[in-house]
Amino acid sequence: MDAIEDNLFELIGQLDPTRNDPPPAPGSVRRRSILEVAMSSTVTAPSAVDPEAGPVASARRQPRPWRRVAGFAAAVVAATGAVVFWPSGEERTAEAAVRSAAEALGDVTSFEGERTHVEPGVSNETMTLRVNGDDFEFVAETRFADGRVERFTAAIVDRVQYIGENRRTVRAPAPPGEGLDTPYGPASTALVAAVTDSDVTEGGNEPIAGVLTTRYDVALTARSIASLSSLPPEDLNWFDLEDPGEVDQFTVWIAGGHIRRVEIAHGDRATTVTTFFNHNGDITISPPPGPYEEAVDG
Amino acid sequence: MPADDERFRGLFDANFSDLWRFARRRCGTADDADDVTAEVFAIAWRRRDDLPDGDELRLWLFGVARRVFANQRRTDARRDRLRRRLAAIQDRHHDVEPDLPNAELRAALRELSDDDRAVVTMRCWDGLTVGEIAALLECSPNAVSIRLHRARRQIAARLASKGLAIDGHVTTAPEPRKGHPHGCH
Repeated sequence: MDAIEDNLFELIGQLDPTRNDPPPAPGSVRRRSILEVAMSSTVTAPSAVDPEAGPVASARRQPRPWRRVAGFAAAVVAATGAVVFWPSGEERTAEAAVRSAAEALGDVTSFEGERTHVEPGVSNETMTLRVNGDDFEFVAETRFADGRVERFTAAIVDRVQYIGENRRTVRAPAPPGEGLDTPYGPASTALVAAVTDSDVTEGGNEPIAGVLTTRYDVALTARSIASLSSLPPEDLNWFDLEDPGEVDQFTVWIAGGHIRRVEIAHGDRATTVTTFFNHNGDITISPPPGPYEEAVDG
Repeated sequence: MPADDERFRGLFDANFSDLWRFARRRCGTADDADDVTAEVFAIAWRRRDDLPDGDELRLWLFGVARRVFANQRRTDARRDRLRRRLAAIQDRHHDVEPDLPNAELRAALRELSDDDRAVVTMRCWDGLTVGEIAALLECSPNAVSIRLHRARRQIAARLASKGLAIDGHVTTAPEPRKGHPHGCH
């Protein structure tokens, strides 16, 4: 490092926010309370990225959208799997159909899905997902109320991952254990918990994307809310069920044994609609267009 | 007091200030830094039986803190809230700190890529060595050095475009303006 670099970094050091905002002093109430909170902790908080994984000993990592994507995939699979285990002609309620779908995880090998999440006055997020076996592509675009637009893409093709953000695409070998081979169980558990012990009523026929569906309205009960509340957030977020007590509309559309759509609304705060297509269809997943930046290799 | 508790209190005292500063430098407010620090130490408490020692523990705590931040970013509502908060803080910095070189330096820092800025702030604010940064970011020391060099060039170019120069000892501007003190302080 030369003198100029030394000087520049010294100047940057002077911008350190903690120069004017020091840590709580020893013996202060804030510091004592932080220690008390820490030492009273007994439960591992669920999270999308495991904060307890040590940075020194663990393998290098790129940002991990996979768990989130896998959650979406799991939700889609949970919903689309119903076709496999739904015997022709057997009458089932929406509750039974979704439960069967959740139990049929792994039998759907390809599908497409779309999810919109709208928070009036805050943001409008659209996500699409195409899956074929271990390969998938995922595109998310968020439009914020202040005009900003963020676009994020992720794909795994032949065990190579592509992460795109802000017009950069970084390519790297897909980390083992990541991607859509992540177990699907937890998200399906969320779907089952949502309809088990809930009051489900048929709401008539409605077309969705050119397909005539049957609509089912699901009224969560104290028991189903309690079941959902016991699940970790990452199992719930794709159906926006993280605050089940605040759900005031839960609707499922079914056609031909497939769940075509799930809509969850929290009053005026947010509405999430997940739609499923092309179950077990012939879907080709290709790498996103280049150029690529190679991931920094440690 | 059980030995477990005593040992943990010892490591808490030894690392609290460093960890809190690490969090504060990446949070909008001191309250947020308190929350992050508490969460990291809570994780350390739960894993108190298999924590590393010494400097390695400090890096471990920093690494957990980074993951806590990552989780914050991955939760939409929290992410949006954090961004609004950060934006407000940045605006406040501009309001209360009109000093030209610092404002330009701050802007130059913000314009770096996330990866490059992380390396620079770890070096300049947290005082980490290249090797420690490499361990924390799980990349090679060479990659860290490259990022530092790239960041330095980018910052210097930005300052030069504003008529500011780094001469090895001071930051200078060609035409001092009234009411805006120049140089480092």
